[in-house]
Amino acid sequence: MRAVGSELQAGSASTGGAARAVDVASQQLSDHAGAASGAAGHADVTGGLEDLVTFHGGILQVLTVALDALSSEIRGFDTCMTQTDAQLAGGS
Amino acid sequence: MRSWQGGPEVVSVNDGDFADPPGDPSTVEDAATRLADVASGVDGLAGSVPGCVPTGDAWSGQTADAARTSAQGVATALRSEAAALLPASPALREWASSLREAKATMSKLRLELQQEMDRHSARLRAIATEASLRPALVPAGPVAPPFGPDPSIAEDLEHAAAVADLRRRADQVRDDLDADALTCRRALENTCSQLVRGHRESLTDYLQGAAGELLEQIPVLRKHSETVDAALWAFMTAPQALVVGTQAPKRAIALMNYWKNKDAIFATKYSLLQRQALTRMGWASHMDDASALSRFWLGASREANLLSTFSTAVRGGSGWSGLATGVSTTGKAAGLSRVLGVGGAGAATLLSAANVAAQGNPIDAWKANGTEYAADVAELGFNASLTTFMVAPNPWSAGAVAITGVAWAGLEIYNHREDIANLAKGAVPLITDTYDAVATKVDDTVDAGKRVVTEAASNAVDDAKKVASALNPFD
Repeated sequence: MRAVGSELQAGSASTGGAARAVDVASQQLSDHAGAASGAAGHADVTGGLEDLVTFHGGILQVLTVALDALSSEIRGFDTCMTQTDAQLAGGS
Repeated sequence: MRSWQGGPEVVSVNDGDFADPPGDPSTVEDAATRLADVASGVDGLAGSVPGCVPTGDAWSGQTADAARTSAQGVATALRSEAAALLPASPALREWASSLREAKATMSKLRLELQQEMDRHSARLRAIATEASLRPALVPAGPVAPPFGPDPSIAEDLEHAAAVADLRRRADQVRDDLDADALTCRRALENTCSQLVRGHRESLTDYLQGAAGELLEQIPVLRKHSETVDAALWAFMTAPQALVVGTQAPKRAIALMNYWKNKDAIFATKYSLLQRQALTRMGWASHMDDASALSRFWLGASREANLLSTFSTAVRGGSGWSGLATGVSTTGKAAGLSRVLGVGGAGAATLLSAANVAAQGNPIDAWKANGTEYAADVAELGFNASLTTFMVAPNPWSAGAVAITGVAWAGLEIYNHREDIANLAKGAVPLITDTYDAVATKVDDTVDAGKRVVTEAASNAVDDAKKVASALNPFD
C-alpha cells in the first residue's frame, strides 16, 4: 500500500513544482512586460502592457493557487492513507 | 541688409519638434522575445500538469477523479492563457519596428534641417557679400533698386518654407507613431478578456463586449459569435433607434409644415397610434383634446416653454409657496406625457454624456475611435436636443432633434454595417441552431424525467408485489 503512497507523494511534489513554475512564469511576465514598458516610450503602449500584466498576471496567480490546492489535496490523501495503514497495522 | 522685419522663424536641430522619439526598440524587442518564451513555457506546463496526478492504478475513487478533473481544468486554463499571451509578442515587435523607423526618420529630418540651416546661412552671407559690392555699381541718389527686390527676403521665405515642410514631416512621424502605439495597445488589450474595459472604450461598447463574451460561453452560441455580437448591438441600440425613428421624422415634418404655414405646430399632441387606440376604446372615443383626461395627459398649454412658465409662476409667489406654485403650474401646463418625456430624455442625455465622457479627451477619443466617437457625440446631441424640445418646443429645438437624429442614425448604420450584414446572413442559422439545441435539451430532460418516473413506478410495483407476497400466506 505504501508503494501507492510514494506515488501520491511524488504526485503532490510534481503538482507543487508545477505551481512554482506557474508562479515563476507570472513573475517573468511581470518583469519582461515591465522592461518593455520602460523602453516603450509611449503612454499607450505602456498602458497596454500594464493591462496585460494585471490581467494575465492575475490569471497565472489564480492558477498557481489552484495547483497548490491540488498538491495539498494529494498530500492530504497520502496523509490519510498513512494513518489508515497505521491503524490497520495496529489492528492486525 | 536684413530689411525684411518679419524674418524667418528661428529654428535649431535641438527644436522639440525634431526631438528623437523616446523609447528603446532593442529592449522592447528583447522583452517581446522573452514574453513569447513565457507563453511557450506556460503552454509546456499545460502539457505536464495532468501527468502530475497519480494514475488510476495508484489512486482511484471519487477524490482521485476530482483531482484529475481539476488538473485537466488547470491544464486547459494554462493552454488558453498561453494562446492568449502569444499575440502580445508580435504586437510589441511591431511597435519596436515602428519606433526604430520613427527614430531613423526623425534623425534624417534633423540632418536635413541642419543642411537647410547651413545652406541658408551660406546664401545670406553670399547675398551680403554681393550687396557690399553693389554700391560701386549703383549710381548715387535715392533711386529705386534697379536690381530687383531685396534677395534676402526671397531667401528668408524659401528657408521658412523649407523649415515648415520639415516640421510638417516631423509632425507626420509623430502622428504615425501615435497611431502605431494605439494599434499596439489594442492588440495588447485583445489578449485580455472583454470583461476588462479597453482604452477609451465607450461604456456601451464595453457592456456589449462583456455581454457577448458571457453569451459565447454557451456552446451553441460560440460558433455564431459574430451574429451574437450583431444581435446584441441591435438589441442594445433598439430603444434609442425607436426614439430616433419616431421623433426625428416627426420633428422634420413639423418643421417643414412650419416653414410652409408659419403655424405654431410644435405642440404636444396625440400620436396617430394613440388617436387610433382612443377611437377603438369606445368609452374614450369621445375624448377630444379639450377633455379633462386629455388635459391631464397632454397638458393645458402644449406649446409652453416650461422654463418660462416655471420662472413666471415662481416669481408670482414667495419662498416655498412660490416654488410649489411653480411646480404645480408647470406640471399642469406640461401634462403627464411631457413630464415623462422630459424625464426620459433627460436620463438618456445623462447616460450618453457619461458614455462620451468615459472616452476621455475629445481629440484623443476621436483619434482612437473615429466615427464611433462621432456617433456617441451625435447620440448625446440628439438626447440633449430632445430634452430641450420637450421643455421648449420651437422650430430651433425641433430642427436640432431632426438633424442630430439623422446624424446619429447615419453614423450608427455606417459604423455597424458589418453587424447589419452579419445579422442578415447569420440570424436564421443562429435561430435554427439555438432551437435545435434547446429542443434536444428539452427532449433529453423529458426522456430523463420519463426514465425517473418509469423507474419509480417499476420500483413501486415491485414494492407492492413484495408487500402482497409478504401478506399472502400461500406464497
